[in-house]
This record gives sequence, C-alpha cells and structure tokens, in this order.
Amino acid sequence: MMPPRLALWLLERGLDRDAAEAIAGDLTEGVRQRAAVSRARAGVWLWRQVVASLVAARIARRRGAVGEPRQSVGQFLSGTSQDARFALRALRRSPAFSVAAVATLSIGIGASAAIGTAADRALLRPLPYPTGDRLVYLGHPNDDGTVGNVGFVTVLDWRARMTAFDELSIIRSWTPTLVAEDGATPINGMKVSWNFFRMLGVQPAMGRDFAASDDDPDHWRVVIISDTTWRNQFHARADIVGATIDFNSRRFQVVGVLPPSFDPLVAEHFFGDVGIWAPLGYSADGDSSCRSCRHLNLLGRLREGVTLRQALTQAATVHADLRRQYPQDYREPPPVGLMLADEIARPMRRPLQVLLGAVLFVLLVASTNVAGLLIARAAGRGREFALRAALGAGWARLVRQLVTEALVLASAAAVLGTLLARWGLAALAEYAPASIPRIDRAPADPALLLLAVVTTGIALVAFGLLPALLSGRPNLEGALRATRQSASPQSLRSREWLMTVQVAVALLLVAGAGLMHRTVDRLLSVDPGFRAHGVISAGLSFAGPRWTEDSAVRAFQDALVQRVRAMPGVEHMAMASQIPLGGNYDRRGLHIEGRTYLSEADEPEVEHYSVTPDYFATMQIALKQGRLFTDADVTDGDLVVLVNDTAARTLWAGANPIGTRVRIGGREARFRTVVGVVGDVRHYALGQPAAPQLYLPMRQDTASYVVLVARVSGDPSAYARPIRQLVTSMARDVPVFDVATLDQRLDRSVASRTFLMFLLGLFALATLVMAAVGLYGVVSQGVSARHREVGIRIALGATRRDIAWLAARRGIWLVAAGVTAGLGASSLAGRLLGGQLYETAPTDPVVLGGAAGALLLVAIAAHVAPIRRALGVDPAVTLKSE
Amino acid sequence: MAEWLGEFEQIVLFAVAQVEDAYGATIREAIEARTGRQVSAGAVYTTLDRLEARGLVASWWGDPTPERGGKRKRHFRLRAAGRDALARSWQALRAMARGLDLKAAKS
Repeated sequence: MMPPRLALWLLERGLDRDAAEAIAGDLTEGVRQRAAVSRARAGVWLWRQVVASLVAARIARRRGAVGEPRQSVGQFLSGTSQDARFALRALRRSPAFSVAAVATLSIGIGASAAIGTAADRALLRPLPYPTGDRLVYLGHPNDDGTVGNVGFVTVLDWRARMTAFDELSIIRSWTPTLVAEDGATPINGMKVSWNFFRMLGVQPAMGRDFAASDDDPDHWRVVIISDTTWRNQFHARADIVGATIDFNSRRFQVVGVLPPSFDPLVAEHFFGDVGIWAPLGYSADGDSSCRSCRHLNLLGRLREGVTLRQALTQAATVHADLRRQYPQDYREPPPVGLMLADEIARPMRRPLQVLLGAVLFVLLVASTNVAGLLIARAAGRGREFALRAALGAGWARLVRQLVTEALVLASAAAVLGTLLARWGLAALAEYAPASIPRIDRAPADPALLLLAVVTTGIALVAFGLLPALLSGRPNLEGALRATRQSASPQSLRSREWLMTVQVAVALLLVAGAGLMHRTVDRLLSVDPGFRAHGVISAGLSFAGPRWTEDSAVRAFQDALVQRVRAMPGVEHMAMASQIPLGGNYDRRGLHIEGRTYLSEADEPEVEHYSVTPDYFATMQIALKQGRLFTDADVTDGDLVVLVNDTAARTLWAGANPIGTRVRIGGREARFRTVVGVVGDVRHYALGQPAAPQLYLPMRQDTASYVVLVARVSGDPSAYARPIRQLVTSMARDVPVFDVATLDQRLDRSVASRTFLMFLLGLFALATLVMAAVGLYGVVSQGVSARHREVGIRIALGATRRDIAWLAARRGIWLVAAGVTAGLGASSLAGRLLGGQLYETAPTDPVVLGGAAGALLLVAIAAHVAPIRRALGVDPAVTLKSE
Repeated sequence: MAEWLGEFEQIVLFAVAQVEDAYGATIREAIEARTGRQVSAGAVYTTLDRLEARGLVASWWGDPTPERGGKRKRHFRLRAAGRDALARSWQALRAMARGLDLKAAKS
C-alpha cells in the first residue's frame, strides 16, 4: 500500500522540500508495515500523521524555529492593523456598497440575535429554581391528552403512594380583594401546598417558609409575599414579618418575604403576575373531599435519579389501584405529566421555532446578498489586485486583505446589529402576546450576537471569497492588459447561484407570512355565535362576609343591572357567570330525566352559564326554538334552563328537548325544564367549535363571580371608567377587574397568530427587498459583461425586443428556478406551521400563487433599469472603445 | 552557558542516542514504544531540526529506497554537545527527584 497522492501532495505543499521528503519516506515505510496488519488502520494512522505533521510544522514555523526569520508579535499585529486600515480605506471609497452591505448584514444579525434570545429564554433555559430540572406538571389527562386537573383527596393518595416524587404540591389561583377608601382591588395570588417553596428549593429572604401546620382549614391565614410586593405595597418596611393584611375583612399575617432573586416564572405561567402566596388550607374531610372532583393543578418534584417515564409508570400503577378501589370516580386513562420546563415553553414553542427558522433564513439571505456584492467587487477589482501582485504583494497577503474587508464589514454590522437586536427585543417584550416566557428578563444575549456575527463572517468568506479565490491566481498580464473592468464569468456564475437561493428563501418567507395572514383572516371571519362589536365586559366578584347570603348578592346584582341600564348610551345590559373568550370555563355533568347513567362520572359534560334575562339580547345570541329567559323566571318560580344547538343535536339526538327535564350538579340538584334552544357560541377560541352548552337564569342560580356585559352605542371602551365608578359607589368591597371590550377579547384570542403573521411578514419583506437588490446587481453585472456583445448585436441589426430578451433571459431563468425551488420548500415548510394554521392548507394555492406572483413582480422591477441600459448601448461608442 | 532542554527534546535526544540506525521513522517508533504516546513525524522532525540548529545533533541524507517510495532517509546522530546537554538534563532531573516519594508528596 502506498500513501495516497493527496497526502504526499499536502506534505509537499505544507512543508519545505527536505522535510517533506524525509516525512513522506518515513510515512511510506510506516504505512506499509501497518497495511500488512490492517489496511483501514494504516489509512487512519497515515492521515493522522499527515495532519499532525502539518500542524507541527506550522506551529514551528510560527515560532520561528526553523528557516524563516522570526516574525515578532508586533510585526504580525502591525500587518493586521495595516490590513484593517487598508480595508477601511477601500470600503470608504465605495460608500454605496459599504452602506448597503452593513445595513443588510445588521438586519440579519439583529433579527436573528433578537429572536434567538427570545427562543433561548423561552425554550432552552433551565427553570430558574435550584431543583428546576426535576419539576413535573402532573394530572389526569384532558380529552386532548394534555395535563389536566386533579382533586384534593386524590393528591393525598398519590402523595402517600407515589415514591417517584419526593414532593407533590398543589397550586390554585387565589384572588383576595384588598379593600381601600377608593375601591376594592383584586390581588393576584396563589394558594399552594405548604411544601411549595421547599419543592422549588427556594428559601424566604426574611421570615420563614410555610410549615405543615399552616396548611390546615383553621390555620391557613398566613402569607408569603414577593420582594416586589414588599417594596411596592409595603414600602419595604423592615418590620414586615408579623405584619397583617386585611382581605375582605379576613386578616392575614405575613410570615415571609421571598428573595429578590426569586423568579415568579412558574406562578406566571399558570396564574399571571403573582406577588402573594397562601397555604391551600384544605382538609381531607372538608368540601373538597370528593374523589370525582377535578379542580386543582399539581406540581411534583422527581426524586433524585428518577426519570419522568419511571414516575409516570408508577403513577399509572397507583391510578389502577385507586380505580379498583373507587371504580366510580377514576374512569379516565392513567395520569399524564411533562417536565415543567416543557409545559412552560409549550404555548410558544412552535411559533418561536418557526420564527427562529425564518430569522435564520433572513440571516442566510443577508449574508448571501452581501457575499454577492463582494464577489462582484472582487471581480471588478481584478486589476487592482493584479497591480498589487505585480508590485510584490504575496497572493496570501491579498487574500488576507479580502478576508479583512469582509470581517470589517461584519464587525460594523455587528455593532449596528446589536442595537437592532436590543430594539427588537424591547419591541417583542412590548408587543408580543404575554405568553412568551421570560422575554422581559434580560437584554440580547451577547453569546448569540457573537454567534450571529461569526456565522455571518464565515458565510461571507465562504460564499463571497472562496469562489473568487478558487477561480485561480490572477492572470497578471491578462488583467493588466484588459481595457475595462469586466466581471469574470465565474464570479457571475457564483452570484447567480446565490441569487437563486435568495429568491427561493424569499418565496418561502412570503408564503409563510401569507399562510398566517390567511389563517388570521379565516379566524376573524368565523361566526363566534355572538356579536362582539359594541360590547364592554368587566369582572365582578362577591366575596367576604357581606356576601355570604345569596339574597344579598342577588339584591345587589338587581340594583346594578337597573343602574347600568339607566346609563345614557347603554342599549342592553346583562350579567353572566362566564362569557365566551373570557379565559374561563365551567363544565358540569348533565343528567337528562328518564335516562340511566352508570354513575355521575358517566353523565355528559356541558358548559354551564348562569345569566340574567337580557344576556342573549346583549350578546346577540340567536334564539332557535322556544323562548328566552324573562324577569318572571325568579327564585321561587318554575326552574328553567336553555340549551344550545349542539346540545340539542348531540344529547337529544334529534328529538325536541323542549319540555324535557334535566339536572346538573349532582344527585341533590332539582330537575329543570328546558324552555328553549339558542345558537352555539365558540367559548374557548375562535378556531374551536362549540361544545354542548347550558344556560340557567341567574335568579335561580346565584353566582358570586360574574361578568357584566353591556351593549352600548358608540365606543364601548369609554364606559370602562363610569362602570367602575358606579360599582365602587354602590359597594366599596366589590372589585372590578379585567375590563375589556369584546373586540379586544377577540383580538387577544388570535394574538399569538397575529404576532407570528406580523413578524413573518416583516422578515418576508426584508428578504424580498434583499432579493430585489441582489437580483438587480446580478442582472446589471450580466448586462455590463455583455456590453460589447450588445453593441455588436445592435450594429448587426438586432431589434429592441431581441436586446431586451438578451438582457432579461438569464434573470428570468434564475427567478424561475428560485421560485420553483421555493415552492417546493414552502409546501414542506408549511407543515412546520401545522397547528398554527386554521382552515388553511400548507399548500394553499392562492397563498403560494400570490407569493410567486409577488416575487415575479419584484423580479420584473429589478430588471427594468438594466434592460433600459442595454437598450441604450450605442454600438459606435462600444466598438470604438475596444 | 548551555541552554536547557525541553521535555520532548530530551525524549528525542534519548531516542537518537539509543536507537540503531536512527532516522525519522525509527526515532518516532522508539518514542511511541517506550513512552506509549503518539507523536507525529512532523513533530519529531521539527524538534530534530531545532536540535540540529543548536548543534546538538547532526544529520545526513542516505540513499533513496523502493520501500520508501523512492524517498531518501535522513539519518541522525548525537553530537558531543548533545550528549553533554542530555547528561546535564538527566542529572538535574535525578538530583531533583532524589528522595521523593510521589505517592506521599504534597499536592
């Protein structure tokens, strides 16, 4: 076996002649001996020797040990700074090129660093708790397989039997009302099992953690507050531990303050901006003892060394045991769980992945675009280089010069890109839907910025300089003798290549933005079953000793309805226990009289609304059959109920529900007569069809948490303040919260898609502009290169159309190739958008056609000037100049 | 005052001093066999070049042979200065190591 030629050649190139000969001889000998044992091993050995030898020789040469005079560090640096100064001068000489290049690159760098930082924070960072990598979100499965709720007694059993978790902590929302002179404020809090902070591995900075004895129905009135709450609500008073807070006439004692470093991420994910925590305070024999209850969220901490899979296997066993014990209560499939970090990242995972992909494409287009400009420039500077080579500059030195120029460009772009990234992130934090976790936590990640800059630098060198270099050492004589700076065919070829890529990518992004636009459009044109325009909504809650009697609540509600209805401009006014798109739901089991169900858990679930009579007029929900509620449906009247279309269709299976009797909420509840059928409303999201729904008159079904809705003439948001003032004037301890028009709620429900649409659109626009500029450059270069040919053809009698075709031909092919590739890629990439789309196929012909059309328009625009230039060629001048 | 030797220089000099028919391949193999560490031909030659420049070894070209793909061998031998330098380094090491029990040494 002989060493491969390439190896010998490399040794000759990398070493001086004598060393190459001696080493090549040694390696030939060595490889023969080794090949006798194993050819493959011999090959590996040889290549390792070659590479290591070349490296060793290079290091030795740099150290100046052999041969060449030693180059001092100072000389090396002065050479580099000379390069940099030279590069700056060269770039200053062509300001248009430099500005275009820096602007393009900085957009790519800034956008990718901003989105990259957001994605990193939201998706990749470990949870900010000492035990974050062991935290799990756990529960009974929802219908769609996601993690759902659990009941209190179930958790007690799980805690006793699931050894895979060393902590299980229940969490639930808690909105105590802070009553002051100027009205009542709901505070956003959380009730947690006493071991919650211990599970997170967090210690209060002041005071103490909850103890097991706090978590009890008689002792739960202690709270731990966040550092922010302490500073903002309590003016950072030093004697905070032991101080009391009055909520709805109940007194709580502050026992601890969390450290400022505590990140409320976990609270934020489930319940928004939380600053206060209280123990859950349930007992196994209290109201929450029912095993079929499912109203709490559960977090757990895996015991060290236990995997999620193992824990879930155990959970399934425990569930099976409980099911044998209580067959009526545990009918669902085994518990499901996912790492808390994944749960928190889940809502924005796909949108951010899509955006990350898009932004990398922007970076790609930006770098290829500038690379194209560099190629054109290098080609145009053939003479300059030839001249410098003739004056004694080494080829390596010239290459170094080019690389330095690229790096100077990338560095300038890095500075600008950093600014853009900062603004971008600030804008993201400001305008993004609130569900991007941790976006507001820190500025653009310097590591990611650096990565973007380095990527750009590499891309510039790879795309921009390699082709120029590979086209060979400059042909000195040729270049010096040439009369005009004409581009070499190679350089044009490489630019065309890059151009096709750009067109394809631009098409991809335009198509993505188009698909999202269509989705949002489709969603907003869905009929939600109610008319949102012109309606304002506000939440009210009746909690505290004054409201323990239903009659007190009803009296206040009646009075409030009268007062609001009397306000000028209010057309209809109603209250409901919950409204569509209100971010809340209330599902109950429905029992139709005369049917047999195996158990309560077997009853079909319906969404339950308790409403005042005017609700349907206010929301404009259609009456399909029978009658609506009237003021005659009072507490001691006949018990009545309305059902929606879907309920009538699916639960009565075509039979007329009117006149039949139903019962909700367990055995003790009384039967109610169905008096009417109303239209479906989309409750959870515009894209989600209605479930069976059931309405009860509020007079017969008092709700202590209600949403007030009013249909008004004019701008509904103008009623926010008067309604708030009215409620406060009537009862200081009834908080008014979550005030929003229904239009705002509609917008919010599509916010994450609008956000995706907006950013994709922005990126698409950026790439489109870059592609246009790039295309213009290529076509222009092509026309310049054929200047002579055009002149000759005109002289030989070519028509204007012939010339225009000559100028445009190449570009048209390029765009066609790019569009074809882009369409292919879009139909694949569209799948990535998948779940984000609504009633829009990833291959939607209108969108893809539109995107292709947009690119063709851009392509045509980019051709206009070069073609006109070609047509303006004067053959006499051209031919004479040669 | 003669210069001190680096560790790899010492190893290479030991090899040149002991190996029969010392040239690149045999020197490298001796090092690999005795120290168990992989070294590249390039590293051996650059060290030998440096040692030669310092007057510690001498080298001469042999004849091309077919098993070397027609390449010549470069032979090496220790010069007097090299022997002295190696002896001094070795002495110094032994002097420093005397009485040391590495297992019991403070770390």
